[in-house]
Amino acid sequence: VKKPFMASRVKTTGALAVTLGILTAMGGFVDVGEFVASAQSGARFGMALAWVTVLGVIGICAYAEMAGRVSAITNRATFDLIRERLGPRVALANLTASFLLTLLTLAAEMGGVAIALQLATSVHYLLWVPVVGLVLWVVLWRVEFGRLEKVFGLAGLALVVYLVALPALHADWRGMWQQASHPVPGSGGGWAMYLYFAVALFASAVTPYEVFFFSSGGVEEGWGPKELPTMRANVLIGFPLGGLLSLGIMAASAVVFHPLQVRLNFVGQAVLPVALGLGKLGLAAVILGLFAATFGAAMETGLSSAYTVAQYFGWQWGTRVKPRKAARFHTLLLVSILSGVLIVLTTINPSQLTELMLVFSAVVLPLTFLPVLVVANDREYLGEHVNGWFTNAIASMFLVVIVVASLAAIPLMIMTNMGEG
Amino acid sequence: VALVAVVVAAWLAIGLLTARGVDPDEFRQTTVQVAQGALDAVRTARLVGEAERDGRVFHLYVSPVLTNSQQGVGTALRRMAEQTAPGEAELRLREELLAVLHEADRRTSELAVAVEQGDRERITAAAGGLGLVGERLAVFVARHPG
Repeated sequence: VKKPFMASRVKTTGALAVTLGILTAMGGFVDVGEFVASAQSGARFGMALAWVTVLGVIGICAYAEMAGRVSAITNRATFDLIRERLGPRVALANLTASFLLTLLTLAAEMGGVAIALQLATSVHYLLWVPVVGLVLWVVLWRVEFGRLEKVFGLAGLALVVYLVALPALHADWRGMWQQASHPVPGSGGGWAMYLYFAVALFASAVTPYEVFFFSSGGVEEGWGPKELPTMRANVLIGFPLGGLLSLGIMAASAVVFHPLQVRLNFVGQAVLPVALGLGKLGLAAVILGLFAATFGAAMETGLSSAYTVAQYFGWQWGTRVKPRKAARFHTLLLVSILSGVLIVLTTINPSQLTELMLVFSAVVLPLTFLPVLVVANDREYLGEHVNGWFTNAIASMFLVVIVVASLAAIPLMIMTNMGEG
Repeated sequence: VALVAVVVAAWLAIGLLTARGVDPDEFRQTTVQVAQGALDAVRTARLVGEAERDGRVFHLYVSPVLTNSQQGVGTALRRMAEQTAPGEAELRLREELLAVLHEADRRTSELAVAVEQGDRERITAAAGGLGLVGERLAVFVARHPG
């Protein structure tokens, strides 16, 4: 789900505004999870895991549309509805898992921002982490959020250089198609390894925080039925285009690293294919894109962590509410950012932190997506806007995949020693 | 009494498990992991070194990537040196890999110095050396699949 949600948070009218929303959605699709998982998968298995990205995009389009519709019609945020529909005990378990995961995601995104700054300055990323935390907090406290999310979403479009670099890298298109159309492990490892990366890649496309962020934003922006077409355009066009960026990262990695049997353990490696293909200009663009994508996602995860808790306990929340009036919400935001800083400062490798986040994300996916499906089928909430048979068919099939990924994530992580073999 | 007995039994079991020698299969698996880690570092260093020589990357970018590669090789060396070989065959395996790792360490350091000094000829020489080391590591990994 990714930052495309950001785009659809912004009330837009007119063709230009819709185009802007779609471009923002596209540029915002990739975050540190997508970046790391796509690059690692490409290096290990070539394009043999491309189907996972396609599957993730289809599923997330279905659930993002549902979450947006629920917000627009009910004007209530996800956790508010989860608590009401499932009861406070089940919702508390859901909240605990979701909050901890969102914190982990926030830390991973902040690590990604710090690494992008390290690649641009040579200053060690750990020295950047406190600065990133401070700037993030100030930005979320003082700056108008709607404008920022557009800026970062559009700057994330710079990642299109991965696609541009492919011809310059003399990509073997037929060979890549051969890999993509024969989804088997090949030389990248056994089936357990292949499935482990499949689960991580899948989880990177459907991170739970996006649902919280999206629905909360919809409430803040005061969406109604009139915003549904814009929201759908952003989701159904912007997400698949964003998925193309992910495939571009995977392909560039597949072209450069897969033949050399190089596995990636440092985010800095993943930008190298663009430099090899396009030179310094491409390198500058890709580092800018990485910075924008991860900083945008850090803003969203920071807010999402505060949203979930505040909504569960019924506290005043929102980026449009003055901090004095939503003191607990803003305190939570600050504590979340500080926690993220501390997690990265443990010196855990940001790539490993991202992998860990993706595995746990896969585990808790059903907790986020099942309630959305339940509410989207409830006529008491949505009236005539409940799911149709087609949406339910797609969403139900996707839910089965989510449950399988959730059950398989931890065993695969143990069997493959977190992808180390 | 039953609880104490269970705790003591568990304690003894843990003690026995941790006291047992290194399993040859486990040793080989670790060795291949170490070799793969070094291969990743060496080939990345070569790519980035050549990109620097050809003017395709900023110097500010090269520095952290090369440092990461040097750390990768250093970690591989340390892990291998810390491994206790359970038998003669494993000892030979360790010595074989350690020789390649020392070469990798030397070549990555040479590349880092050459890049720092902006010496294109030395960058080419170091990158060529890393190419050969990478081949040896790739052969090692292929010969001992995990």
